[in-house]
Amino acid sequence: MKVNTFFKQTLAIVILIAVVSGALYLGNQKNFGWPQYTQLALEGLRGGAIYALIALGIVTIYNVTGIINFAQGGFAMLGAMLAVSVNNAQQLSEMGVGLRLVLAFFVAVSLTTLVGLLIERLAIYPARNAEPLTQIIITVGVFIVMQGVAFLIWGSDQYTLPAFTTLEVRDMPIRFSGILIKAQSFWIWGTVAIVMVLLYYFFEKTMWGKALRACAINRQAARLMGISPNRMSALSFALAAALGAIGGFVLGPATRPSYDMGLTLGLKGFVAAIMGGLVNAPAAVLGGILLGMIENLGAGITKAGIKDIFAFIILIFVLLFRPDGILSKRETVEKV
Amino acid sequence: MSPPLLELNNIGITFGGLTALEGVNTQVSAGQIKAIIGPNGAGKTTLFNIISGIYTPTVGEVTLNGEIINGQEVSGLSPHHISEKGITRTFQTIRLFEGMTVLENVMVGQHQKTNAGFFAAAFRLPSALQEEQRIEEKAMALLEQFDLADRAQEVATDLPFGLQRRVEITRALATEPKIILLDEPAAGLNNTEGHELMTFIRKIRDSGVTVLLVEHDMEVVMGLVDEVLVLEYGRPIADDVPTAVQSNPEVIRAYLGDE
Amino acid sequence: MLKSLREKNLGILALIIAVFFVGWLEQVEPGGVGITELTFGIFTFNTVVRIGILTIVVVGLNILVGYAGQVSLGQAAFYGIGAYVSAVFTVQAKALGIPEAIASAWIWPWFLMLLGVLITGGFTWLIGRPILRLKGHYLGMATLGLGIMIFILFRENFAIKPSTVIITGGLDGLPDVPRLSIGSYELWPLHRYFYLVWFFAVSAIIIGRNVVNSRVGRAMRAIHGSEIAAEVMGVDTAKFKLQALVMSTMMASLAGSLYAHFQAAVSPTPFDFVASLELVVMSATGGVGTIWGAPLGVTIILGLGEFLRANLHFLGAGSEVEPIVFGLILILIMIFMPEGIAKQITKLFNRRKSNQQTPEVSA
Repeated sequence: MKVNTFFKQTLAIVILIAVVSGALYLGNQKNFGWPQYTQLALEGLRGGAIYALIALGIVTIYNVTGIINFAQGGFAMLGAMLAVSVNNAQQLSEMGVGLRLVLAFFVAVSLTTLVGLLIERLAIYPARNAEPLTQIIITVGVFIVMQGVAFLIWGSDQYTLPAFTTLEVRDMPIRFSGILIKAQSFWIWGTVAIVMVLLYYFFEKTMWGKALRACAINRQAARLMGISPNRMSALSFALAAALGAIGGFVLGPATRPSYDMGLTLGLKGFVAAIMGGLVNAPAAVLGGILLGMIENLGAGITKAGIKDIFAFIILIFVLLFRPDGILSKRETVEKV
Repeated sequence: MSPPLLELNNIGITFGGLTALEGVNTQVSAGQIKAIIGPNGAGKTTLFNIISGIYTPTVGEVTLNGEIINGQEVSGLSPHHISEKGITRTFQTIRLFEGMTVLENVMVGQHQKTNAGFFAAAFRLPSALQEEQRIEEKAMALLEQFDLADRAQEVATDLPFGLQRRVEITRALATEPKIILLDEPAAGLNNTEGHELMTFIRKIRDSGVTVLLVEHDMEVVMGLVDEVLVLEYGRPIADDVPTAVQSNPEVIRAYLGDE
Repeated sequence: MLKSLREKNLGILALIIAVFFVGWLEQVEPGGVGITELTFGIFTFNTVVRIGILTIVVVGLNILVGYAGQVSLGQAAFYGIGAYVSAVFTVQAKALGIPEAIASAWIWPWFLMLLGVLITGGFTWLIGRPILRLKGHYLGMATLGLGIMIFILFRENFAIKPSTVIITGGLDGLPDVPRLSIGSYELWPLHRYFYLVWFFAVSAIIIGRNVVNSRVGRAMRAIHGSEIAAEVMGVDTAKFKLQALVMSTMMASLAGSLYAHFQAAVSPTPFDFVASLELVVMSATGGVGTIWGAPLGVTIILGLGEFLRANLHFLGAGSEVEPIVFGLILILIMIFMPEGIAKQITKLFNRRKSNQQTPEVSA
C-alpha cells in the first residue's frame, strides 16, 4: 500500500540518518579523523571478504535446495583447523613452510569438500522433503556434531597459521599515510576476488555450473532436461564446503583458529546472505563486505565487546525494510 | 434489476511493470450467480484476489453496497476486514486448515461471530464455553445442511477431493457472507461430482448468498449462471447474460483462437 | 469434544499425581529409593526441577511454533530477560538506589517476576508486528538476530554511571540471587521450590491446553494451515500471531525468573543462541502442535543430556563426546520423526485403534 510504503521509507531514512549522525558524534568524542575511519573500514573489509565467501556458500545451497545451511561456518572452521594440522604435522617438518601451506590448502579444501558431500548424503538428502524448520534443525545438528568432533580432535586451544607473506606467525604490516594494513589482508582480498571470478566462470561456462543454475531456477524443469536435482543438491553442498574451507584457510593467519570459530562466521555469513536477498550471489558478496565494514566501524566507535550486535541490528533492519535484499527493486504487493 | 451489491470500477493492477488487469468494470446484483470466465492467464484469480482484499489494485476501486472496500484510497483494509464486511472466498488449490477436523474448519468460519479473547480462553470462562457450544451447533447445522455432518470429526485434508471442496465452501459460508467467491469450484471434479456441485451452488444462492465464480470452461456454467463476465489478457471483452455471451464474436474468437 | 476434554483432564490429573509422588519420593526416600535411583541415575531431583522450568518455556514455544506456525530461534533471550530482571533488581538493588526496605521485602522478588513478564510481553508486543510480517526462514533469522542482540546486552559490561558497578555482571553474571519466600516461609530447600516450579508448569500446561482448544487456538492453527485462507475467514492473522508471540515470551520470562531463584545466580550462557536452538529442539522432539509434547520433549532432551554425561565415561570417553552424540541423535530424530515423539506415539496408538476397527469400516 502506498501510504505504508511511504511511511516505511521515511522511517527507514530517519533511522539511517539518526544512526549515522550518532556514529559520527561518538567518533568525534574519540577524536576520530579520516585515518581512523579508513583504518577501521579496511580492517572490516578483511572480515567482510570472509563473510562474503561464507554467504556465497549459503546462497548456493539455498538456491539449489531451499535449505538454510547452519553448518556453513563449520566448513570455514574445518578448513582452518585442517590447515593448522597439516602445518603442524611432525612428518612434514622437513618441508619448507611455503610448500607446507600449499599442501595444507589442498588437504583442507579437499577434505572439507568431502565432509560437505558426506553431510549432504547422510543428513540432508534423507530429509529433502521435510519442513523447512526440520531441515534447519538438522543443519544445526550437523553443526553441533562438526564442532563436537573438532573439539575432540583439536581441543579448545587457539592455534596459529603462518602468514602467507612472511611465512611466520608475525605478519608484515604495510603502511600508507597513517593507515596500517596487514599483508594477509591482501591475500584474503585476492583470494576472494579470484574465487569470485572462478565461480562466475563455473556458473556461466561449465556444464555443471549451468545445471546448478537451472536447478536453482526451476527444479521440475531441470529434472525434465535430464538434470538430477539430487546430484545437484550434493554438488551444491560440496561447492559450499569448498568455499567455506577456502575462507577458513585464508582467514587462518589473520585470526587464531579454534574449534569454535564457526558459529560467529556462519551467523555473519547469513546476515550477509540475507542482506543480499538470500538468492542473489553478487548482492550477498556486497552484503558481506558492507557488513564487515559497518560492524568494525561500529565496534571502533563504541566498544569492541558489542561488535557482534551490529550484524544483527543490520539483519533486523534489512528484514524489516528491505526483505528482498539491499539491492532489490521489487515491491511486495501481497498483504497477507 | 436490483441495485448492484458489488461493483468494480475501472480495476487495473500491474506487477513489476507487467499489466495483469486493466479497465475491469462490472456489477454483481444481490441474489445473482455470476461467472467470470476466460482462458488461462486471463486474470480471473487476480481479480478474485483484489475483490477479497489480498491485492490492492493499482487503479480503480471495489465497492460493496456503495462503500469502497478496496482501492488506492482505502489503506489498511486487510482480507479479514473485507471478510467481516461480507465477502469470502474459496481457492483454486483447496486451502483447508491442515490437521483440523471438518467441524473445526467450519468453526473457524464463525470466527468473526465470536469474541472470546485470550484471557477468556485461557481460564475457560463461562462466556467462552457458551460461545463455543453455540458455534459448534451452528457449524454442525451448516454441515447437516450440506450433507457433511457424518464427516464432521474427520481430518478435513484426509477427505476425498470432491468433499474437500464442499468443506471449503461450507467453511466460507460459515462466515455468513453476502457474497461468496468460488475459484474454479468444478476443477478436478468428475461429471457426477460436477452436477452435484451445480445443485450445491444453487442451494447456496437460494439460501440468500450471492455467488461469484471463476471458471475457465464456459460450458460448465452456462446452465447455472445469470450473467457472465469474460476476461482475456486482463481485459473484459464481454459482460452479459450467457446466451448473449455465447454468440459474442469477440468471445468466440478468444476461445477458438486459444485452442 | 467434551469426551476428549475429559480425557485431557485425566492427563492433567495424572501429571499432578506424578508431581506429588516425586515430591514424596524425594522427601521420604522409601527404602533408600529416591527419584535418582528410580530412573537409574538419569534424573536427579535437580533435573526434575529444571524440567519443570523449561516445560513452561517450551509450552509457550509450542503454542508459537506448533500451533501458530511462527518460528522463534531467539526464545532463550526472553527466558533470559526474566532471569536478569529478577537477578539485577535484587542483587544490584543497592547500586540501583532501591531502598533497602523495598529490596528486602519478601514480596519484592515476586513483583520482579511479574515485572519481568510485563517487560518481556510489552517489548515483544511493540516489536512483534513488523517482525511477524516475515515468514519462514526470514522470521527464523530475525528472531535469531534479536535473541543474539539481547544476549550480547546480558554479556557486556555496561556500567551504571556514575558508579562503576557492572549492571548485568558481564560474563561472570550475578551471584547471590535470593531465594523466594512467602512471608517468612522460605520456598527452599529444593523440595519446596520443586512444588512451586511444578505449580507453574502444570498451570502453563493447563492454560496452554485451554488456549489451543479455544477460538483463539483455532485461529492460530488456521494461520499455521494457511495464512491467506485464515484471513478470508475473517481471522486477523497479525493479531493472533502477535498474541502467540507475546504469550510465549511472557511464559519464557516467568520461567527465567524461576530459574534465577533456583540457581541463585545468573550468567549469560544459558540464554545464548545455542540455548534458543535447544529449546526449539525440545519443542520439536516432543512434538510441535501438542501441548503434552512440551514436558515430553524437555524430559527427553534433558534426560538424554544427563544420560550421556553420566554414561559416556564408562564407554571410555570424556564428556566431550556428549555434544556429538547429542547432535547425531538430534539429526536422527529429525529425519525419522520430524513431527516429534508425542505425535508419533499418538499415531501408533491411532493405528492400533483403527486396525482393530477395520472390519466394521467400509471404505
